[in-house]
Amino acid sequence: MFTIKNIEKSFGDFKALNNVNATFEKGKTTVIIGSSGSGKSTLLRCLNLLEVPDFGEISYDNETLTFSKEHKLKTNKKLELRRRTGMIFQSFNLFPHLTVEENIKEGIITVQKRNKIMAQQAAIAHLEMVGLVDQKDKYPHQLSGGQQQRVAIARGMALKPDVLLYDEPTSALDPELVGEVLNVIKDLAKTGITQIIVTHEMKFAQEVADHVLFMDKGEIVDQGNPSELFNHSNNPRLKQFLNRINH
Amino acid sequence: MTELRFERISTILSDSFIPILQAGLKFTIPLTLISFALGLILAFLVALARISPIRLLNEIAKLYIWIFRGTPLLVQLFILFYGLPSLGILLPPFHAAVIGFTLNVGAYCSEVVRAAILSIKKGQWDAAYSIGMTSSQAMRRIVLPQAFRVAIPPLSNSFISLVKDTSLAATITLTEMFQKGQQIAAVTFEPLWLYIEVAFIYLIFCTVLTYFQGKLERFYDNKLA
Ligand SMILES: Nc1ncnc2c1ncn2[C@@H]1O[C@H](COP(=O)(O)OP(=O)(O)OP(=O)(O)O)[C@@H](O)[C@H]1O
Ligand SMILES: [Mg+2]
Repeated sequence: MFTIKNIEKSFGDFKALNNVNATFEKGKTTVIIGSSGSGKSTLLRCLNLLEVPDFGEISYDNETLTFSKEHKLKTNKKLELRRRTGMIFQSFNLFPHLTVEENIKEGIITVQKRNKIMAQQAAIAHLEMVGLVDQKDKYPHQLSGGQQQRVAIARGMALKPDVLLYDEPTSALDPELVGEVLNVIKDLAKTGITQIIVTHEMKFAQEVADHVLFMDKGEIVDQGNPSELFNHSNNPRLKQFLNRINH
Repeated sequence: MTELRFERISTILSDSFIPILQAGLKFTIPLTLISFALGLILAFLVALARISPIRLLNEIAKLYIWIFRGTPLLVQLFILFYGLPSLGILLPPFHAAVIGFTLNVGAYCSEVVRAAILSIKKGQWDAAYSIGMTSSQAMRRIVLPQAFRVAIPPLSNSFISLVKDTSLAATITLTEMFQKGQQIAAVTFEPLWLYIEVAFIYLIFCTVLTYFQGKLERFYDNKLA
């Protein structure tokens, strides 16, 4: 379980996150929706400390990190949390100078300090999971966007994180490639890994989510299970958002 | 040109070719290689200082770059070789030359290295951090290898310039290629032909280097697209 309390984050004078509270249940998939600029990416990036919150708390297992302007977070605390999370980016961010297999092995060898043989086995196993073993010796630019994103998922999974964070994993893809990526994520959801997904794919959100958070202007303004939220919410801002997105 | 004169010149040129080339192999090339290697290390450290959020490091780096890019290399060499002895610091010519060229390469190339590091997209850092890397791991394993490719053409240019700039070491008594050519020209009274010969040997060196630069670039392009 992953809990955040009173998270605040500003960029200059602009408050991107304002008093955000949420609980992410173990083994569940949480989807975050909201209009552009509502703070979804910022929240996700706060969860693995790519952005460090100005205030608030993040708790996982028996560990609680407290943020304040006065106390700078210790680097080892930061790394510890990051090493329990994996992240999938909108633009894939594979390492272009490494082959597909090396992309996956990199973290296992450099960060986890496991030996090359184990890294290789893990790479192959996770490439199998996303159906790309035959591409293992290619460089990222030789793959389609959908394939690159599946490699990115394999790279994240191979480090055995407690939580996988996805920031609009299909937004940069041609429409015909979206399905293959969403299918991988759906399959993963069934394996009991904890996932937190920012997406604009509403149909997918309804299918895959155990829990949905709706963000607006830096706050979580509504949440619930997908059928509740998508069909029976009384929140005017959410209704407006869903209307806009469906037309 | 009479036949006799032609014969004389061709004898001088063929007799001097080996001594000049030897001066190149003994001084010009080692001077270039050592200065460039040390200069790159310095350039990298200065680039890091320029990128670092620590204000003091930043300012020191800027000051260094400002001084060494804003003053003639020839004057720097004179200060090192003819000036420092009055402070009791006597440097052999080769050492003085290495120090001078290293400091110069460090100043010019630090900007190249800095630009190359900054040209790597933020997403690469994000991805490196997201798999749990420390900043130095991200720099070493992810950013530098990509920045290196970006930096190859401008660094190669600096390298080739350095080969030619080492001729300035002649002015601080180092018997590198140009100095050797001068010496022979002085006793044979054939400056035109001697200096053309020297120029020709520099040209060969630079052509070979350009060829390897191309190879290196293509090697990386095949990997990176
Ligand atoms: N590094 C930054 N510096 C300054 N402002 C930022 C930074 N990152 C985000 N912001 C601002 O914070 C707000 C929230 O941004 P965020 O990227 O979290 O939105 P989002 O919900 O992910 O939007 P989108 O759907 O467009 O990705 C935006 O107004 C954005 O301009
Ligand atoms: Mg976003």
